[in-house]
Amino acid sequence: MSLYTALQEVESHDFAARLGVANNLEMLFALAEQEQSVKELLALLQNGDEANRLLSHVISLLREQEDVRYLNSRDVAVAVCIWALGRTQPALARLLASEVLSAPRVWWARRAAIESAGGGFIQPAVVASSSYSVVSTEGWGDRGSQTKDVLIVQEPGTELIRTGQVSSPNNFSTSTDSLRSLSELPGEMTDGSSESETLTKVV
Amino acid sequence: MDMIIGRGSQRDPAALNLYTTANRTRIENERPDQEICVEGLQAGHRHVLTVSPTARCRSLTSMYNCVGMVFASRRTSVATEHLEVILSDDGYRPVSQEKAMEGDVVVYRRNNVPQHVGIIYQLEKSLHSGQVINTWVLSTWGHLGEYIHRIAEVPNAYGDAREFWSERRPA
Repeated sequence: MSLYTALQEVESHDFAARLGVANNLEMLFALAEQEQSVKELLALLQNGDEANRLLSHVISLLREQEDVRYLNSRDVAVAVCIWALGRTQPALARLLASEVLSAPRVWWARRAAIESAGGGFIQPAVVASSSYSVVSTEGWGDRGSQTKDVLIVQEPGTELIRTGQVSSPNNFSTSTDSLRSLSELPGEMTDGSSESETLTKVV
Repeated sequence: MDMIIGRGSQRDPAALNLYTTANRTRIENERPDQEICVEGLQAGHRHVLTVSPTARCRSLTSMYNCVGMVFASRRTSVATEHLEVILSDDGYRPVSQEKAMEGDVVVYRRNNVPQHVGIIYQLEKSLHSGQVINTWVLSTWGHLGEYIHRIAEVPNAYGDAREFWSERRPA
């Protein structure tokens, strides 16, 4: 079975229906494991080139404009691809997960992406620690409340701005490497400013 | 763009403020923004009938799941992991299968983990002996819609109908 054939099956409505009875992510992946096309997919993804092809294909799927009234029809397929990549090419799975997190109209795929990020398979050695942060919110809410952890993913551009390597429009970068928005900086220096600060406005 | 993922939590404006009655424990829930497309739901319906040929569809919608149907009035999706908290906090007590009645809750477990929940819809009794010959359950299969089905005719992944729970107060 070629990657194309396997994906044709994985992206079908019938495949989504068979997995769609799942009540949780664990069940979804357990059902996926029983599918012949997924077994083939897992075997194909041992090859790095095939894995890269899959990644490009799924990212293009996420950018397709479908009927916005409905969930993405490849939602289950994308979730399975994240999981399959996670088992074979974890670095690519993380890349795909980061794409999925900003994609609209996905349900299972978003859960798979969060699981792949928070489930302990982000390794600082592979993804720079400054590009994401997982914030444990346990105990933040009222006593006894149950809250989920929060994953904050930053665009590379944001990171460059934050580290002072690049300035963004309407922001002042200062020699003290702090970043303030325009609204925080009136025409005159603020109380917190020191005389040694130099200001640069980027437009 | 920074992205904060906390859907279903108290900070999610789309989530319902859903609490258990006794301990006021907040139940995380998530309301899908969109339905599954018609073709997807129809494929789901065909699949349900392969698992349970006698099943009848009550509502073909993907806007809530099994826990949301039973405990949140079909308004949202609630993870099955919250089932035990809801049952204990909402005053449900276990009953034997023989004493279960229409309206009671049936919990399916696999490896002792709750996987699915439904409501007993009908106890079909033999006219001759009065014994229950079929138990029909109303439940939502994943996000594929709400079905009336025989108690044992569910996907293997749901496990078995192990427990029956009731909040009934005797007359």
